Amino acid sequence: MTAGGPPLEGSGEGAESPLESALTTERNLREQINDLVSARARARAEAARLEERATIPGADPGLGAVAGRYAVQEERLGEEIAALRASLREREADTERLRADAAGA
Amino acid sequence: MLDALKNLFGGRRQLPSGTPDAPLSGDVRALAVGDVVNHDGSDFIVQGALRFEEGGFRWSEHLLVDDARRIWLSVEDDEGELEVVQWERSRSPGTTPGPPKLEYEGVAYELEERGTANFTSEGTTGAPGGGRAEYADYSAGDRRLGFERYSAEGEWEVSVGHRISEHLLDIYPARSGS
Repeated sequence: MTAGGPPLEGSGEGAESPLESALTTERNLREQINDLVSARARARAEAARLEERATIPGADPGLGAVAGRYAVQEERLGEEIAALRASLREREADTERLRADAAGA
Repeated sequence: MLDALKNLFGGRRQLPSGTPDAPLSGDVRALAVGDVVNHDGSDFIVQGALRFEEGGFRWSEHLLVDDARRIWLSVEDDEGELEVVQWERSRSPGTTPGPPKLEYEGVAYELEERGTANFTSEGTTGAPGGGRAEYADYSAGDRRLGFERYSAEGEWEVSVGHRISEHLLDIYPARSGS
């Protein structure tokens, strides 16, 4: 028996318990959100930079459109972040249930 | 089992001594450059960190950036008692520490401590890569007034802050090795 109690039903030597699996899923979701937040910050910065450059006399007339595409990308990333965050909240609730089950076992 | 759970969040991080078995994804003591912190409705990216050490006591300060908004978070774990303070650099330089009581922007602060610490800098902080820093901390309830300078002749950087609960912070760690 380990410090954390007996292995959960169905888990063999070396296999992840449901709780461990849930924590891995949570960690992965958090890392994905981190990736998307970083990507959104880059898209936001690039949109702002190109928008500013587009106002300079003699600037490439296509710059404004490119800036607009970055702005759209920023918005889409924001939607993805919101969806992943909702998924994370659901997973966290599952994890808490598994934690309570493990503590009661 | 507990070790296995801790190892799930292992890799580049180590559990600081005295840290409970909470997942490191939510542990402000393990905050690192590249992590994302959701706080006060914003997704901040940790762009830099200053790590201080004085007489065996350690604390850290993290620069959090969300677009044009920049805040600092200081994290001190004093024998298990965690103090997290949200700071903003003051726009009124010129004030210097010294007196045991100091009024700043209408708030009366009292000197808590003053000293010199070794520090190292990671990522983007505006400070040199490392060396010695002089500091002075004042408090008024949960409010804080901080002074730091990175050379004896340098100008004091003044920051105002307030203590916050670590539970207000939702941390999204960067991938291991990123």
